[in-house]
Amino acid sequence: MTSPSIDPLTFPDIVDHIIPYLDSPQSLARAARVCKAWNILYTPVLWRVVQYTCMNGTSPTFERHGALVRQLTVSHLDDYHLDLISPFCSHVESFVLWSNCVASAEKLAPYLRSIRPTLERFVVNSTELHPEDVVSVLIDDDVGGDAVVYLALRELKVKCFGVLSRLTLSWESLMMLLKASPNLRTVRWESLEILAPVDRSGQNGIHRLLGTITATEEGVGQEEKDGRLLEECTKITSLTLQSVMVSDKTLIQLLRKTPELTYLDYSSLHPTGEVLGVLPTICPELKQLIFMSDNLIPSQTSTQLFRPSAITNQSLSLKELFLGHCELDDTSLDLLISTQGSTLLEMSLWNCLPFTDSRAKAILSGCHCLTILYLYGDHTITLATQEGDEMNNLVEDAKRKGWTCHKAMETFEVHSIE
Amino acid sequence: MTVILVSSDNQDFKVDKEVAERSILIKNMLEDVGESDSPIPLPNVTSAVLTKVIEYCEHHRNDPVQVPEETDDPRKRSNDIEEWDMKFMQVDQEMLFEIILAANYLDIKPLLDVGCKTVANIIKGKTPEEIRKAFNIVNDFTPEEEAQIKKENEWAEDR
Repeated sequence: MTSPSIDPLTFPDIVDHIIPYLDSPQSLARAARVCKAWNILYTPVLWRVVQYTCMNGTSPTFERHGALVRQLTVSHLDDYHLDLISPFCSHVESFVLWSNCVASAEKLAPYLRSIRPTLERFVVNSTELHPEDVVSVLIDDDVGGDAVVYLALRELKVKCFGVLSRLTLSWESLMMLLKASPNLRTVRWESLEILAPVDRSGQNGIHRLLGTITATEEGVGQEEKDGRLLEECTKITSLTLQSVMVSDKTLIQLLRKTPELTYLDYSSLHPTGEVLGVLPTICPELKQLIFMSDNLIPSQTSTQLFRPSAITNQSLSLKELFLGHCELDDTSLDLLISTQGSTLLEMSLWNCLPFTDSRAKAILSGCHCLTILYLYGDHTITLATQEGDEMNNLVEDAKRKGWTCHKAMETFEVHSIE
Repeated sequence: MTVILVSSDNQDFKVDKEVAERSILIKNMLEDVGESDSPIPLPNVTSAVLTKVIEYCEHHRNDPVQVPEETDDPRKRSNDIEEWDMKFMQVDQEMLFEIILAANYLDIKPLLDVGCKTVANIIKGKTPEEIRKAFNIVNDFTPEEEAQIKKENEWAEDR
């Protein structure tokens, strides 16, 4: 046998197949140091995804390879380290500032604007930055200045936690941000208060600014079209508001701008639940809903979620539903089963009703696609013998007792809450 | 139905069509040619390597066809190699490389994956010097160059 004419270890097609199995940066870094041929192949892969902390350990120096970086995840980023990134990492697509970013808005703003053509994902977690800072970092809020449109941005996740009090974000800033990034699909805000819109004169100001954004954006066509669409709504499909304080009225106003929403995770503080009733109308595409309230929403209000929209006469077709602290009486449960029973795949009800055998049976027999059902709260379900948090799958018990339990069912758990 | 494959050293291999068609290259060739008894020349594969490749395809003749989305998802990738494949891959390095090249040429993705996983498993956890030793690679860096690369990539090696 003659020796191979091609060395598979330096044949790009084959190296591309080897690389996915070298999962750690350490392996890639060592491979890049083997010889010149390997260095050429492994260096771009190693520098594509860079993750480090500024607290301790070694930070990368980006002079030579910064332009290769596409995904940059930095913990505890400060101004000093940001200065080491900014001039070199010019093609970053995913910028994640993890574990408390302490860099200043003044430093972050020019860098983010410099990478706006490529930036698809921006995640920030900070005690230093105010939510308003995040907005000003992304857009230039100086009316008449260089308004920036982030056309590539698809995902934005912000957690700014005030040490002493809940931080606030004005409605106007939120709207400016959404309009400056017209292709956003996934948005997550955590631990803040979204303020209600101010008077009309304030809104006029924003419209004026929006005019500037559309007008100053280079190129026409798609951008212009996006601009027009944004007058009405966004393309957001996934919205998470975790521990966010916002009035129902303001939230509804926000949701009116997200008609394509398929995922809503809203863990709210003191809501009235009014939003549940309008979801079938304003977010008809919703498939996954997590709604967790800290106060009990009366069943009259909860029921509205399952009613058809008064305008379109269509109900939601939810696949996943998590309701917390939303009272459900027999009428609401019947409505839930009749309108959602044919689509629901996973459901968790947390302190929604006193669970009885007949109610559990009704859910099991009525929701025939259901694969996962968790019931948390007071119950007298005779299948459930466990105490506290002990996990116990009751699917087989239910079947043995002759309860109608569709084939799809995989997990059925009942838990008391202390 | 059988097909005849001809290795680079002009040996004929008579194999079931179903087995030969684990190779997407051959499958496409057969589809293009239609019903034909003419032997298929494989000028890039020696008889020794073709014997191994056919052994693999025979063993895996009934495997379901890989769904690309599943294997392209990095989270679903695993370095685990099933026992038979592991034994099959216990060959000298020259043969391992020949199998990988043949799997690439013949477009047999599962065999290419097993080969590449085997190589990745040799690389992982080794220092550059150990990798050079394992694959008989000459270090063509000057000590200064190597020191510089080490320094540049320290953030990644440092964990």
